[in-house]
Parts: sequence; C-alpha cells; structure tokens
Amino acid sequence: MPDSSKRSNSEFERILREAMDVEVPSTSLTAGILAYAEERQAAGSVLVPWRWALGGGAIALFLGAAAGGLLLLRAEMSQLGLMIEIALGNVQAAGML
Amino acid sequence: MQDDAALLSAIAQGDELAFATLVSRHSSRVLAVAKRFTMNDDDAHDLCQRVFWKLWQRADRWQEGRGRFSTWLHRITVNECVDWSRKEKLRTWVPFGEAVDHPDGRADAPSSIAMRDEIRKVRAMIPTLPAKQRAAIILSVQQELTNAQIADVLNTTEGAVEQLLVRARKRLRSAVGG
Repeated sequence: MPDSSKRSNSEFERILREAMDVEVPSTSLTAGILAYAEERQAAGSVLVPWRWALGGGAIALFLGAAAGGLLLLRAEMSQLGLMIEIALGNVQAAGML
Repeated sequence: MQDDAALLSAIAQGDELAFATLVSRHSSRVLAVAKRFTMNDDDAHDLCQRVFWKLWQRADRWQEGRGRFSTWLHRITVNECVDWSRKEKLRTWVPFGEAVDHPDGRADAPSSIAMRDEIRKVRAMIPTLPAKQRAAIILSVQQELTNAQIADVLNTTEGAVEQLLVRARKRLRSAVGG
C-alpha cells in the first residue's frame, strides 16, 4: 500500500476532484423543483388575502380607537366647558352678592 | 434555443415554461454545489428548491450586462448554503453511502484502495470547513470557477479567495496526512 503522506500535489488535486464529485439525478430534480415552486405559488396566493385581511383589520382597529378617543376628548371638553360655565356663574353670583 | 437572459426576462413576466427550461438547464449544477456543501441529499434538494424559488421571485432584479447569469445563480446558491450552515449545527458525521461511488470499471476510477480511502477521508473533512472556505473550494474544484469569478460570487477580493483556498486545501490535505 502506498504511503499516503507522500502524495504529490497532482495526486492530492485528483483526490480532491474525486471528493467533490457528485451524482445528480437530473429528471426527478427538475420535476421536484417545479412542484415546489408551484406549491409555494399556491401558498402565496392563499397567504395574500390573509395578509390583506390582517392589514385591513389592523387599520379598522386603529381608526376605531382614534374615533373613540376623539369622542372621549369631545365629551371631556364639553364637561370642562360646563365646569367653566358653572365657575363663571359662581363668580358672577358672588359679585352680585 | 433561448439564452439565459431571454429566459430570465420571460420569467420576470411570469412565464412558467421559461422557468422550467432554466431549471432543467441549471439545476444539476446547483444541486452539485448544495450536495457537496451539505453532504446530505435531503438538505441539498431543499436548498436547490429554495434557490430556484428565489430565482423565480427575483428574476426581474437581474439585469443583463451587470454580470453573468451563472455568477448570479452561484451567488444565490452560496448564500442559501451559508444561511443553511448558520442554522444547522455542524454535522461532523458523513453517511457511508457518500463514500466513493464510482463503478470500478470507469476509465478514470481511483486506482487503489488507498486512494479511495483518502477520497472518503477528504469528503468527511469537507463539512468541517468554515462556510466560506467550503464554498470557495467547491466553486473552485467542482465548478471550475476562476478566483476572480469566485470573488464575484462571494463578494470579496481575489486575494481573499486565494487565502480561503489555501486554508481549505491545507485542512483537507491534513485528512490524508499531507
């Protein structure tokens, strides 16, 4: 048996090339890739409406929250206005006394 | 026969026939890289599918004149392989089925049992290489790319590629006691 520690560069390069060599089944490979791409495309077309639905839901929630906030703010403001009016009334009443 | 550039612009328009043509033309090259990178048939097939799925999605991004299609395809392949190696724990074992599988009758079949044993040892050492070294040596030896082309694929300099190849060869050579 030859001494492996004395492999020349050219012998090592041959070993390396052999080690890199692979067997590739071309026909089933192409079919597999096309089937995968088809699957992903189909999954994508199902996913898109879901994304739209989720996005739409998030926007609706945001708009609802904003509208609710505005109503609350308006209520607070009118309450504040009433309180000011009462306070002014009190001042006026005190002045008349 | 349509060239790759024409096929890619057709793919960008959603032409599935052009996609099938491009896949059948280049899939064996992608699988060969993925197989040697992962040393695992199942993972290599998964990677190969992901590479072509990305190609389908990004066909419109490729511009003729900005580089060769083969470089672009190698870049997508290597990026997928490097991503895979980040996610996967390094596998130090190699299935015995991956050993030398050429029939003895082949004209250029390894001449001795010792050489076949060394090929097996070198193969077993490939997954232990750092991802970039592994990619560089596969592109150089198996795909026969020049250092300049490898530098383009790995987005680095030729000097850096030279270093990667020297280190990879040194490590692989240690498997055979050289």
